[in-house]
Amino acid sequence: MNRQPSQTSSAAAPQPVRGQPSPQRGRRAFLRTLGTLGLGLPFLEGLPERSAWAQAAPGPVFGLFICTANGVVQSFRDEPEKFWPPELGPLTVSGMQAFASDRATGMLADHAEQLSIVRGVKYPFANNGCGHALGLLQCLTAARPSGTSNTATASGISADTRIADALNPAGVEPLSLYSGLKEGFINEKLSFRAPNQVRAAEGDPWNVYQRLVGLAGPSPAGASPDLAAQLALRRKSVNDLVREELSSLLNRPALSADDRQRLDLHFSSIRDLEQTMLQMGRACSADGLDVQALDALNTGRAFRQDGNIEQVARLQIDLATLAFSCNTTRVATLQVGDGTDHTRYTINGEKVERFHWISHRQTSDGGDGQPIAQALDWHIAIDRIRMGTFKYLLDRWSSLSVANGTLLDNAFALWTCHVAIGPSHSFNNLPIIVAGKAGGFLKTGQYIDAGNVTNNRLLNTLITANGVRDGGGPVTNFGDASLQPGLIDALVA
Amino acid sequence: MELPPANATGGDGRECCLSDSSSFRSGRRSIHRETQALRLALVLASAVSGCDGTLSGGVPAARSEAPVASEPAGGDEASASGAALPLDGRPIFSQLVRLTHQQWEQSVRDVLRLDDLPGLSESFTGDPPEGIFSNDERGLLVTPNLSLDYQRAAEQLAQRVARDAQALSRLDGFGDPAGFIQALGRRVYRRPLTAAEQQRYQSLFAVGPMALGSGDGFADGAQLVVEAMLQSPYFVYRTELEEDGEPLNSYELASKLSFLLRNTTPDDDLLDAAASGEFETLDGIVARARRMLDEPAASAVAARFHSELFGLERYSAIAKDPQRFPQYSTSVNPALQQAEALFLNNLFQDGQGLAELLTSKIGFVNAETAPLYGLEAAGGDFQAVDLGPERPGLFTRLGFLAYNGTLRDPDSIHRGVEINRVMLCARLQPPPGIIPALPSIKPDQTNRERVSAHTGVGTCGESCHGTLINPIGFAFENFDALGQLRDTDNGKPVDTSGAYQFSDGLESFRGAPELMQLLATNPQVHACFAEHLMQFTLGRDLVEDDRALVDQLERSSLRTGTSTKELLLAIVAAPSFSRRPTAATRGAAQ
Repeated sequence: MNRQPSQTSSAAAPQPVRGQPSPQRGRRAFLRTLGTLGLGLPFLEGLPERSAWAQAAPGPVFGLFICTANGVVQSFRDEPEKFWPPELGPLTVSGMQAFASDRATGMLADHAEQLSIVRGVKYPFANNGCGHALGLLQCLTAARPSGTSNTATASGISADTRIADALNPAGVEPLSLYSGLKEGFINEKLSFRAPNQVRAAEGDPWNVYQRLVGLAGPSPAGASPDLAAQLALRRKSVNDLVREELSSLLNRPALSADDRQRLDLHFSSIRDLEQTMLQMGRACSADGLDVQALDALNTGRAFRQDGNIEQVARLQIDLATLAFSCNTTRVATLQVGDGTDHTRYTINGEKVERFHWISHRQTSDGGDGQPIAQALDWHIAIDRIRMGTFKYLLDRWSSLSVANGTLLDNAFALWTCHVAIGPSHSFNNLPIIVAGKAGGFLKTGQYIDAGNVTNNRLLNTLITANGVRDGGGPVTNFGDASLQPGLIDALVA
Repeated sequence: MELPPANATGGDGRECCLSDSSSFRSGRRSIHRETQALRLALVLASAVSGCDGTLSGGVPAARSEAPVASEPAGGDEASASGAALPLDGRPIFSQLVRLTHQQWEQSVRDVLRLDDLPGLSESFTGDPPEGIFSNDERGLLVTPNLSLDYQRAAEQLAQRVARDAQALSRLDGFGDPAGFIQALGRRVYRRPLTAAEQQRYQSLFAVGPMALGSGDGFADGAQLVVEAMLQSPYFVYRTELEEDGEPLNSYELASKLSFLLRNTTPDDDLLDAAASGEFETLDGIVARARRMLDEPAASAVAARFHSELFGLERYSAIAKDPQRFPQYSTSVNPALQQAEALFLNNLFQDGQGLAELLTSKIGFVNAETAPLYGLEAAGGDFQAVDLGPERPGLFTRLGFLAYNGTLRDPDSIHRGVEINRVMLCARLQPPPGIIPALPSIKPDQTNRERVSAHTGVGTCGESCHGTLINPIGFAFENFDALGQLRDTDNGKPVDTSGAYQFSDGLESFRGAPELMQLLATNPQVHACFAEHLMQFTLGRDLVEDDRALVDQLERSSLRTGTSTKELLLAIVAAPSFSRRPTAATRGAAQ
């Protein structure tokens, strides 16, 4: 099993950065600079020798977990099958093209050879309440939810936390992304830093971008190494003082366990320049990142408007791609849509009912509404819109070269939903697509039935694919302790 | 329907309550109430502590110099509450409560003496909601992303201030490193710096010229100092570092009052008051809080309490079928939200309480919203008007009713759910994951008949819907999806009758006005409101040890119509505000 050794990035020595911010440089000016230079990151050059990419093969593996809302249209009561391929077995380009107009997964035909489509996976804990929250909570934790509805929480950490704890440098969290309205009833509930502690998911791609580039300061090209050394000294001096204060607070004997955990988190979050993202290689480039679109969506909080949810999802995918290319994190999550997602998609030029209501086939978040006549057609159309966004990811990752092939060869992306079917909120037979070979660990080009297993098996497989090892072997026991351990063997090459 | 007095203050029961709420100002009454509430605050403090003039546990550090009222606040001190709501939250009683992003924003403006809010927190990592209120301690963490956000913001602000001689000179100690550090440090740390801290900053100041090298040594040092101070844990957290069971120190109390009532860092005046020992007595704390409650900043804090409790921001999502409601467009949504904010704020300012929130006939309309009420109003300004007997209180207004309506029909279920959750603190289980197929629609069915057929008595939804949710929701059947009055639904007369099992018994009602009267006089509702106000004021979940105060507030609100403002003051006067919890209380909450 131990094909691919676990690999952690080591802290590098202080690295030269290209200058420091000019005093009055505003956001627009910053954008203009980026535009004229034709690149998004101002410090792309240098230090490939310390880059994770440059280290001995096999290179690092990256993982992106995408969880979307409200289920897909698949065979249920009198509703037709519109998602899964017609037959289990190998996936080929021509084979998938044949059902591309009928089944949403067929839209991914170009990448047939890089896909495992997996039926027969379920969430372990019963849907005895608000399926949307309980599904989201289990999606990446396979842990028992506690509480109900919008106050529900997960009793365990999520897979991205397990991966980041093992593979990211200390204090570097998984990238946690969001696309949706964030109306407030059930917002982010995907990534858990600790039991009952959800990780904030950033819904504004502009902020994600700022954080990625801001790690080394907004540094226009052309500044001298002296300035970089000064910036490093400044940060270090300030951080030392803050760390000293946090240490003395941590040394207070009466501090509760909760407060201690909070201060520990804060303490480990403080990073000097030398510990930041500066370990990047040749693939670390923001070429193709639409910075103007990032800015446009930031203006007037357009990123939260329902006409933009898929565009935001694509930009978030771009940013996760950038973060992977620069090796700032080995893992990211993307939640698309609120728990009860009220996005109004535009279909054939018409803004339709709230997606959550469409998925119920009636004008209600519960079961007391009027039937929506076109609900099924609209849900089918929304599935295809969402599959188009996932295809966008595959197109990008398959065109991005890294040391050992494409990013898709060296990463995986999971696409799933927090419920399987809209009207029933079923937790069985979740729509699951795993794309990418994860450096050769994952078997692809197949449509398989995992045999009604709980999703901890899927998560064990992906955590291991990402490069995490447990005592030298695969991770087999992630999630609730009561669940049957192990991987989904058919997913392993 | 026999109703107990809702307003013992005036002595004339329900009628007084109703007539009072229709006139917004009553000088005599508000003076009377103020006196009454100071008494209440003191009574509560002494009642909880066993009337020994200390906050709790017999530690006399916060002595009350004021006379302790001899009569109990609610008349029947010893009796158990009429509404034993479960108090089973999970507070962590944090000693380090991170500033909310709003508090960070306003505090930075105040400590650096900027003209405007810096606006930088808009891009900060958000705080996933924990509980109802955004100031809940559990949701406030410094995560790696937020740490980067703080760093970025501190660097920008430090540079902005240090490179602008005018901005820099506005801070005290210009040209004198030690004085500069001492003065800014007191504002940023909300207490005087210790000698060791002062020394650390002076060392950091000396690094400035090396790290920045601008040629202006003072500006370089100052920039580094500002950058570090804004990232200090003593700035980003409000601390309560005293031992279990001990009173907070004066500076901690100044900060706690300031962040609660102004939502920002304490000003120099409050810090001076802390230095002078003003907060070492209960009288001092309560008197200061009372003055602060009359400042404009307190209104903004109350507005946040109401907005978060009642979810007013969600009104921006109201949408209606244009064919069915041609008189409505989404452009009116902001006005619907603003109207209720004004209504609630006026109640708060005028020293009114929960009963008026539920029964006042006064509402706010402008030219956009008046026609939807069948009224006329000139101009864009909001006016207070009498909305008549059909529309008492918040829940009979367009905002609540239209938000809880589908595109075409009233959403009886969510009207019922919301009142159950927000006003009755009912613990409703969410609906089953598997939604049953819709029953066939009969052409002549009313909304009530259809909802009942699907969820009412005799269906699988009986336990929640049949007894708790639907009866409350159906009381609003004479309001359509937009919240406009109607007598018929689908050609049949509307049926607004129902009965609800309160914690002290079954009560029947017909229509929203009768339901609102029942709510306004029911102990469960007052206990629920007390619980929410305590969660907001204390910034944490409640536990069994909080019950004595919940009960006191409930009785006071129910029997004497105590205002929201005075209830808030009573919480400030309680040991749970001004003291660290005992080890036993903390242990029991785990």
